[in-house]
Amino acid sequence: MRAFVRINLLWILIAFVGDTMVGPMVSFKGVRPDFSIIALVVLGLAAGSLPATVGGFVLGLVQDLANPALLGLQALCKTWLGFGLGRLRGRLVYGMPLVEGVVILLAVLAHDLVFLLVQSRLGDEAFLVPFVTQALPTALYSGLVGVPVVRLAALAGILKPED
Amino acid sequence: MRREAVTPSTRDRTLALIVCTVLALTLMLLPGNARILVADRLGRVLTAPYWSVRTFLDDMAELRRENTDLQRELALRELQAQAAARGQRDMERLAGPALEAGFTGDLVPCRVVMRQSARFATMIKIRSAEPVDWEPWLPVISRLGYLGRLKTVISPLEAWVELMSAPDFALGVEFPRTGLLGIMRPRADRFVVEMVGRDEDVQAGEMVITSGVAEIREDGAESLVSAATPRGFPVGTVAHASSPNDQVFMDIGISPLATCDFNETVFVVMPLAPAGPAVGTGRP
Repeated sequence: MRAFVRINLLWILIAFVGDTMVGPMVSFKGVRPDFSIIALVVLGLAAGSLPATVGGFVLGLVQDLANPALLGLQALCKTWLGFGLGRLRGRLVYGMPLVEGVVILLAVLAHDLVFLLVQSRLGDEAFLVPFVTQALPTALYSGLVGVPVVRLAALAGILKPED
Repeated sequence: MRREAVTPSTRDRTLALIVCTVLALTLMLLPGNARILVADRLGRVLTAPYWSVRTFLDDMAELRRENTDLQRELALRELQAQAAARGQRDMERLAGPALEAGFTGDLVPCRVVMRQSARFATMIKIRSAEPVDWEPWLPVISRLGYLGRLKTVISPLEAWVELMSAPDFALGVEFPRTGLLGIMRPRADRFVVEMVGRDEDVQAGEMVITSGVAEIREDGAESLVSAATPRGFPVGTVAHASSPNDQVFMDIGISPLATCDFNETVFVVMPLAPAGPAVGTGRP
């Protein structure tokens, strides 16, 4: 029960504080780390696919509320992302920053790929330009910033290989 | 007794995935207006409290910023008005055209972020909203009057201020009514003005301001401090003034005008031009 509370507190804190406070401070030319996905990675690796699926849905839904025209899209993307990340639990080499960074990078890319595909209605320009100018730099930046966050979670005893 | 952690089965995981996916797809497939209405209703429960608090805090910060700017303007205008009045008085008493009527510089508004909770605090920490090219010994004032001087610069945003109540503090002061000079020092829990001859005209209730006169001392450091403090900042009012029979100088106690008891904006007085070598500082 204690671990459950700790994990949930941590990922909510990363998502909330990261997106609302740290994000604007470390923004570089409009590109900033996607803390919601970093939080989802932490949740997925710490708690597995069921909590990550539900957490991803809730997180996406909250983000969707700020953009009602696409209500449900972020929830859908993050549901699947959470499920996938949860499935990675126990299959990764733990304690390697490079692996964690690449997981975050790929998670951001996968999320943005699906999101932009639906948002652009499969239009070339509407998809490619934001993908190259926004999604790729955000993925790289998130990968860089996400490593210390994941390391911090590991130090807090939240991330450990599945028994 | 230790409980075993319950691991969700594959069926549970798949069920959660299906439920969440169906919910998300349902939301996505809602007709345009209905989707926005649903988002609005959900937002009232899920995100409205957060946005209310955030908007309130943003407004507070904005209000505080505007208030700081207004206070800065007001303090500048008050100092200019006082300087004009002082210039007039100086002319009337033929003090000479070279006498500086008041400071010419800029005020940098700062917030007090740390203070001692002791009754007689000696230092405060201040933070500026914008980076400042400040240096030690710059005067710090509040709207009421002189507070102290910058002691240690931490960063372009933060610095520690030595208050008038610090044990080693000394400040060249003037009684503007007569132009009489003295040195203000803290003594235990009061402030005194020293080096005023026993036959001079000092009355209780009269104003004391910074003199802008460098006090030349053997170590040189004190004089530099005085040189960095322009003339004209209100320091306090004379609480009592007497001439004891056995002393050469008057016994003058003053009540400081500015205090750090209230949470208010303070201002660092920046010179308009970069400070050149101090004149008459007693330094080689």
